[in-house]
Amino acid sequence: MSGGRIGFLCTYTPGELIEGAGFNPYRLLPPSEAVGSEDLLDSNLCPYVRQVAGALRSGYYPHFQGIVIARSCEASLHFYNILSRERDFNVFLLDLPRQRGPRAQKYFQAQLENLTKWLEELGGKLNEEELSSSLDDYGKTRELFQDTRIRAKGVDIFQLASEYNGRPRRDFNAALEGFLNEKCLEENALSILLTGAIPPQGLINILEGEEIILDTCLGLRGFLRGEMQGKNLFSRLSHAYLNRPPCPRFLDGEDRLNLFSRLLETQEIQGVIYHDLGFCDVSSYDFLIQKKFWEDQNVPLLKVKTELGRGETGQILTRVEAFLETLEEGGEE
Amino acid sequence: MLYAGIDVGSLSTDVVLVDSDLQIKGYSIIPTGADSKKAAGESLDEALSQAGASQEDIGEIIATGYGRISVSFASDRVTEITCHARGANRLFPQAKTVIDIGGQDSKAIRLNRRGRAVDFAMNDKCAAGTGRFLEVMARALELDLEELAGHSLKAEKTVPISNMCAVFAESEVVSLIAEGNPREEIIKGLHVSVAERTLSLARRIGYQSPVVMTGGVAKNAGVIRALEEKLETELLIPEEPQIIGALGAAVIAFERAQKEVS
Ligand SMILES: Nc1ncnc2c1ncn2[C@@H]1O[C@H](COP(=O)(O)OP(=O)(O)OP(=O)(O)O)[C@@H](O)[C@H]1O
Ligand SMILES: [Mg+2]
Repeated sequence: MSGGRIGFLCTYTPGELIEGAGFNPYRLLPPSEAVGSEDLLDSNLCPYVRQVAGALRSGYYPHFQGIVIARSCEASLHFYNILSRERDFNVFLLDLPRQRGPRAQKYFQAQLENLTKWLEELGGKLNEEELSSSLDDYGKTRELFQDTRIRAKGVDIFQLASEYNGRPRRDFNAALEGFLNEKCLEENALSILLTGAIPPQGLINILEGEEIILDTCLGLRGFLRGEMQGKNLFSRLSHAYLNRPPCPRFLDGEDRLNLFSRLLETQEIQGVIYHDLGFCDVSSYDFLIQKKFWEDQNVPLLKVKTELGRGETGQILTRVEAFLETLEEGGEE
Repeated sequence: MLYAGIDVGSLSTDVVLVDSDLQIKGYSIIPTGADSKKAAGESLDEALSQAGASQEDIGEIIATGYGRISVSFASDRVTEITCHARGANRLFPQAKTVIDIGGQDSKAIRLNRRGRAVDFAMNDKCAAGTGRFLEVMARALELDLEELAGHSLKAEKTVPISNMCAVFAESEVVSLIAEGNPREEIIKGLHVSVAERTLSLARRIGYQSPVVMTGGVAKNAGVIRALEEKLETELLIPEEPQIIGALGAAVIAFERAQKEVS
């Protein structure tokens, strides 16, 4: 492995290909301290994308050989447009379909082929041996996470993933396995589902000590994959990625709810905390879909809206703690 | 034995001491100031001297409010949502909804049949519809808070205030004065604006009467009047609305102490 890093924004970017070409995938997580970027992106755009843009410019992240921006939303497209004008960055726009049928799969497959060409232009080589071992490694993560019976503290999963950011998937798997053996929590305790858009560190810290199932692409969902089905590598990867439990950006609310139905079969979810990211239309729509779903299931739901800022912690703290207290008080009875 | 509830709010730090029959034996309300831990200690001392008691008489202390974390001598911390619900339920067992408007937060809380909080809505980050908003406006009008309340009851008409944001509303008020609008009518407009914000919170939780109003703003007769009109119901107002969070915390302190004994 050449060891060069490839930055990426969205978990629909197949790390398999990046590792298989000899690079280390590094997820662009929001910085711990907000960095201004108003001169790059307008302040009514996604705070996540804005903060990553600011952090990238300020040198917060390590050096990247290239950056993959999946077109998950309009804000990420704006981000791509800005980066592609800068000389210092090699950027690739991975166009992600909004639908998931056969035609979408074909389209995404072509995108993955282009991604590979781009990786080769950067000096990567899709090496047979490395590719097959990286496919195995990613498959292993999927297996570890596939089991929705996982009860794990959201903080721990999130922290583990951040700690292993930019390191080979194999190392992460080893840590994850140890973690799941040790820290999977007991059944029948108060368990909370944290869902919605990528949550701020402050919200995760507040929930420390609670039993959390983290749906959002920082937790469970970011690691799940569908079956590897298809004629060749690219069609199989395309199938696997488009058939994982969808993220809110897919116009497929029903299928998204399947993951929750499955969770409800195996877990006792006592409450749901929905993180609504300011200026993210997708998360606002998703909230309405989820609101109806959880109301029908009689599961209490709390919406917490943030812009990933640090100053918001005080109010979030009161909301979240009060929500947990109302759950303890036993609801409507 | 006494049980203490300490509510460290953004503006006032309130303490209530109850005995084993949940009767209030002493209370105090002091400004929080810059040092919330110090305020908590001072407020507690004041309530103790009112009750003619000392620290040793206290069985359990529960802290609540924005600054609850800084009360290191409390045995536990509970949010003001739970505490206002509990305090209101102690005084008005029939209450189904609690509205607490303090300095920086306003909240609507729905209670279940046992008087416990089951749902709540809180204002967003900004000061619109809070006590702080009214304080800023009182300053712009060169009046005390107490005077503000009385004035609006005299108004025959309302001058609507279109800005929710405290900063913009302040300059709006200044220009309304310059335009020669009667002060009472501007003040009434401000109270209506607070009531409208509160109504939208109350709607979010599907409020039902009887509604209890707590927090310092419940001392403002102008807001009460405007809110009763918006909510289309009469509000139940405790004799001292500012200590209801602390009262709820004291009730919880008593219950925790009972649990520990049994
Ligand atoms: N005598 C009074 N007449 C009118 N209004 C009053 C009076 N006393 C207090 N207030 C109002 O009460 C507000 C403070 O209320 P309170 O003490 O309940 O706030 P807090 O609990 O410190 O704040 P928060 O709960 O938001 O942290 C003031 O901003 C003021 O508007
Ligand atoms: Mg208060």
